[in-house]
Amino acid sequence: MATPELFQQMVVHIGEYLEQDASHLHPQSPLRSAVAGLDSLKTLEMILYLEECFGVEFEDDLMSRIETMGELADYIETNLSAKDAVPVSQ
Amino acid sequence: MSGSPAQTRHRVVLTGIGLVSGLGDRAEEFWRRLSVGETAVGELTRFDPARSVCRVAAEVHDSDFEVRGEYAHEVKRAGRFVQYAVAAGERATADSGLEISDDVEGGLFLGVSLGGLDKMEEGVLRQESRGPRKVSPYLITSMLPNMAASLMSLRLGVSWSQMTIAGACASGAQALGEAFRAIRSGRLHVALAGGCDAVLTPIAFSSFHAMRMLSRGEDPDCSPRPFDVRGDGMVVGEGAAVFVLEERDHALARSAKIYAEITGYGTSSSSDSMSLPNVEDCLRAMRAALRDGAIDPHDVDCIFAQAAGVRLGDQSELAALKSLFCSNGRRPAMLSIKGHIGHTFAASGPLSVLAATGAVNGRPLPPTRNLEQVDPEFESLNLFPGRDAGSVRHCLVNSFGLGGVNAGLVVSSVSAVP
Repeated sequence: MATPELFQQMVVHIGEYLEQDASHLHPQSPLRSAVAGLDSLKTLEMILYLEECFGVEFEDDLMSRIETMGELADYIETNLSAKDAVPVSQ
Repeated sequence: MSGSPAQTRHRVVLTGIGLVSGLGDRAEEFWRRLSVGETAVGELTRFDPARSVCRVAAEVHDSDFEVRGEYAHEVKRAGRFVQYAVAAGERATADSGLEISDDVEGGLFLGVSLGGLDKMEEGVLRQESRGPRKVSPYLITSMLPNMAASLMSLRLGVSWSQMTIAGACASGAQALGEAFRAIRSGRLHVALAGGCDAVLTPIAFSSFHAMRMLSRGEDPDCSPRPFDVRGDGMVVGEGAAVFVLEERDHALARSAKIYAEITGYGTSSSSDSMSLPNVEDCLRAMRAALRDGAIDPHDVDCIFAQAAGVRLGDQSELAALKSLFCSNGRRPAMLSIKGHIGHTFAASGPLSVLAATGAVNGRPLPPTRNLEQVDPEFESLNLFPGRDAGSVRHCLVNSFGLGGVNAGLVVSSVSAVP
């Protein structure tokens, strides 16, 4: 389970990517519809951006396995723990 | 115009102009700067010129082509050719005053030559430096040639037919020609048509240098030299020009401003080479355009030539022009605007059509920049017509592309055809 701090950090990075305020996002927000215009290509590009921000590498089929922003944060948390690393970007 | 007899020929007029060019993004400014011999050719700044044999280019510097609104995210990630085309298309639409909707039988015709070469190069470099997983998910859509027309269509919110033509440097002229045919036949009432290209990237320069097609001139004021015996190659330019083409009665019914009429179009293939057209190839395309418009060569007042400063190609075109137009004392003006804006590839035909539109509307004829020494064989041609060449009724625009794709368009004044 991702910490609230990591979730908020992820939301900040999503806002950076979208160039718009993303503070309305919460852990239960659906990944594919919580942000208007976030189609498949844009989602994939956002994932690449989050990979850079957190220094993790997402599995190729991740987007077909997760449904919510919270699950995305959990995935990042798990990968960071596995790497025993701290986020690259604060 | 469904229901029209198949043999009926509807007249086709230009009612909207949109451009992105090194000489401004408004038609009047473009015509003015052409006529006084200004040039967009300057020091290459888009990338480190030290890596290139050719250190000059005709860049777009001051055009505000930033796209906002619907699909802006996708447009920003696309190659520059898409950004230019979308901006030019929207300017043309606004200029025409036409309400774009599915209630109008319309179509999109865009000529694209090198397309997203800039994005391809960027993607390859990223793959090699960061690994294959780091390639942008937008790479394919950023470089697909059809994305100029596709994003234009998405932003317009219409479901018109769209067609992207890849005929190298003749692409834009062919796109205008095919739009012209679609309206003339009655299949469409209106079309947005033109061409775009933007490939100021190291790989484009290396590739053209490998073909020995690039000028090595260091002085931007002297390169390229269309028609000149010292022409040592082309200078790379960039831009887009898109027009609203409209069935004449449709335009008259809405009291639209009419800039000019397209009266003829012809296209053909070279017979024996994929690089430069020979004299017969040039003649075939020009004759086809004039025959299509039932226009006698002696009625043509001005020719906007393909001439890019590549000597072999320019000489063939000059020989063809001399053969077709210069008899019985007729000496139509023969010009090239490549010295002003470089070679803009798929945009070159449409930008020449724009120059011709200025000419048939009484704007001063532009000089062929950097033309000083003419081969004695062609000294009898009217290559230095001066600004005031009298009334210009019909202009022929030539556009020839690699692979042997040749096209000609006839642009006529509103009053030239009864």
